[in-house]
Amino acid sequence: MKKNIIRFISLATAFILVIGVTACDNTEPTTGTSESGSESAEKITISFKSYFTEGENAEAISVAYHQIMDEFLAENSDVELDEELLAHDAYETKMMALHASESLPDMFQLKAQWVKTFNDNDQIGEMDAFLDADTEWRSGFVEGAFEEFKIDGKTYGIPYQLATVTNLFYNKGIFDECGITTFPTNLEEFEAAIVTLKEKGYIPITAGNLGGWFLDVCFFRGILDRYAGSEWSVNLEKNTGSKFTDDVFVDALEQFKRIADMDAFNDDLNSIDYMQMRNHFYNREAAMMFDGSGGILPFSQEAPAEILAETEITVLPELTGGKSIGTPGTAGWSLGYNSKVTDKQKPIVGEILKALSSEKHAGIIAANNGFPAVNPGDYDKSKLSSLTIKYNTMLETVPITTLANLQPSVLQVLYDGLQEIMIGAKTPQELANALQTEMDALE
Amino acid sequence: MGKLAAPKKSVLTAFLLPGTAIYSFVIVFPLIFALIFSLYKWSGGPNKTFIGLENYVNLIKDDNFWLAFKNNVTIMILCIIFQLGISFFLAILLSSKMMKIHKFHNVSIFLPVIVSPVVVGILWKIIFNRGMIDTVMESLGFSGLVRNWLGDPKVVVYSVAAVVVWQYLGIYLMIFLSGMQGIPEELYESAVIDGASGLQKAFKITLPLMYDVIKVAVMLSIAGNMKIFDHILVMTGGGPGKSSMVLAIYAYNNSFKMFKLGYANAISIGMIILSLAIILISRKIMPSSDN
Repeated sequence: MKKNIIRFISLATAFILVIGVTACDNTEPTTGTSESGSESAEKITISFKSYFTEGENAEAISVAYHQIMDEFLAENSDVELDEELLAHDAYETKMMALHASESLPDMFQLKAQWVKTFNDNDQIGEMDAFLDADTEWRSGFVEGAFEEFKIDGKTYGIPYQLATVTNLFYNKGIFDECGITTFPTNLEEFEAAIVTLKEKGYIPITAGNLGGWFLDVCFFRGILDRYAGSEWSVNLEKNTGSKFTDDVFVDALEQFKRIADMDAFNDDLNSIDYMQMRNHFYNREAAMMFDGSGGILPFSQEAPAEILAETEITVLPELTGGKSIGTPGTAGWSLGYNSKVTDKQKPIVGEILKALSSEKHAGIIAANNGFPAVNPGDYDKSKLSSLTIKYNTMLETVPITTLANLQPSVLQVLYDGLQEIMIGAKTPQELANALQTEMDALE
Repeated sequence: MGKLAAPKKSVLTAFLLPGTAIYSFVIVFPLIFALIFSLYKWSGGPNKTFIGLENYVNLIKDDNFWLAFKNNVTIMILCIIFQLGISFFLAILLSSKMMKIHKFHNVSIFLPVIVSPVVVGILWKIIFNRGMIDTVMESLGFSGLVRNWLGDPKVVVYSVAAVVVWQYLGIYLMIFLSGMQGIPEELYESAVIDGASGLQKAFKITLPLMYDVIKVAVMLSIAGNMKIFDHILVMTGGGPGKSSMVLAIYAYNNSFKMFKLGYANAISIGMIILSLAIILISRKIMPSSDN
């Protein structure tokens, strides 16, 4: 009898522990057809994960998301939102884990580089039915906004922003102080300016590459654009003729190496991130800084008034005889949905997508110093910062060019490779070969 | 006192079952899954292609994997030498009667152990980057040694290792102190009567009697350093280039940044095999004291 009791208690304990531990996962909002697909009290639940975090210095896209989503929920009392907001990097890591475990939420922010893999695994739904049903909505997007989210002619993401990624912020006061009264007009003058700034004790360019991506996205892609131009980038992305081993790409890497070898960057480049790098600029230690257009708002909010007043915004000077004078742009992120959403959820997903890429939504982004992927029409310009106004003026003469959307494994080789070029562990030609090998392995 | 009856098999099983269930759930099953996934070309999600041992063939030929392993071994050796060496020295100091305010010293040295590695990483990143170390070195007349501690590929592994040595000194100090408490006081008293110096006591009494404790500390240090991750992720992200890349960061990059989950699982299994091999070698080098 006693033996049976002990056996029963031990088995029960083990069972409870195992069930308890395995059940932990059920606290997560689950995908489409399971919990979130079920109706409770006539409500349809939509799980939504994003990095649209709230706060005092929230990005324009977050401000617009919350305002529009609150309105949507107020108008649709039958919809319940199961929302999780995470910091950007944490969001990416969590989505990778959810993707691997086939438990993506019903709706989420979809990175352009994820589209192929998610689609290969049948985890994201097509947008074409929604877009075809409302041509007015479709025509509101800026030209080319969907390109990064298309595979074989089908669209998998609804873009909400259009960012330029290699904008050059410079402190005009420091330039004047160093005797550089006009900003360099070509790369030769740019290199000469770096030498002068360094001699005067300034960090010529502040950068934060702890995440690995910064040097590529915000700096090297600008150089590549000058050497190779948009057409080459499009052909590289689509694998229709351009190769990493082409002379234009190797020449761009050589240009990158030349600038890096001049000690143009801050010493702590690889141990600080893109937000921390701004401190060198705010402290007037650095004369230049590359950043995406998304950086304009935090810069305007954080920079000391005297630094903000001295700051101008432009793009990398042109290459004499080069292929482009523009600045590479990308939507980068979009809104996506789980291919396994239920028939009841799908129309609601469509309505939410429309609301979060409407003219009104775009107007809120634009009014908050952001840059929407949809034409915002007339919007409130009273809150625009001086830097946003300078940026908008700059875009009147500087065209937005193509930023090749590369697959994650190729990107990682590029990210690591640029650092290796900087420390002399790889030559530009070696990196070009390694990139092409990785690209070929994807086929 | 009567002899205790040996517990019945059913009772033993009953007590072992919950622990075994938890251990299996968090260690054994993930390991088995990792082994299975490592045989696939898998980018996450439901689609997997069975490729047999191809990931392992690639792993053996992968220079980055071996570079990461080399960095792990470098950090591990530095930690065994300095972490264990310094903490052993401190343990001897703290167990001597000459040392005052023992508790203060113990707590001060143990404090970093309870701080999150991420916090420690951020703290040391500031120390390295903001010139605090450089200022101290310059004031001591070593200005020639000043360098970019986290940006110079030649020193970055040593900089990271120094932080790990500093943070976990306390653990080994506690292990050694508790080991020393088990050494009979009479041995030291006899040695004093025989005219032994402090150094002789340390080398002739303390060190031999602490052999098994040191062996455990070495095993812990090997295990801890083969899975080092947080400090490096925060301080350098494995860079510059791949100068401070370790196996765990390499596996993380392959799974979470490159969508190569099958290969990342192969890296993890490779990590386990190499760690076990190092522990086996260390056991051969340091046989049981009974032998």
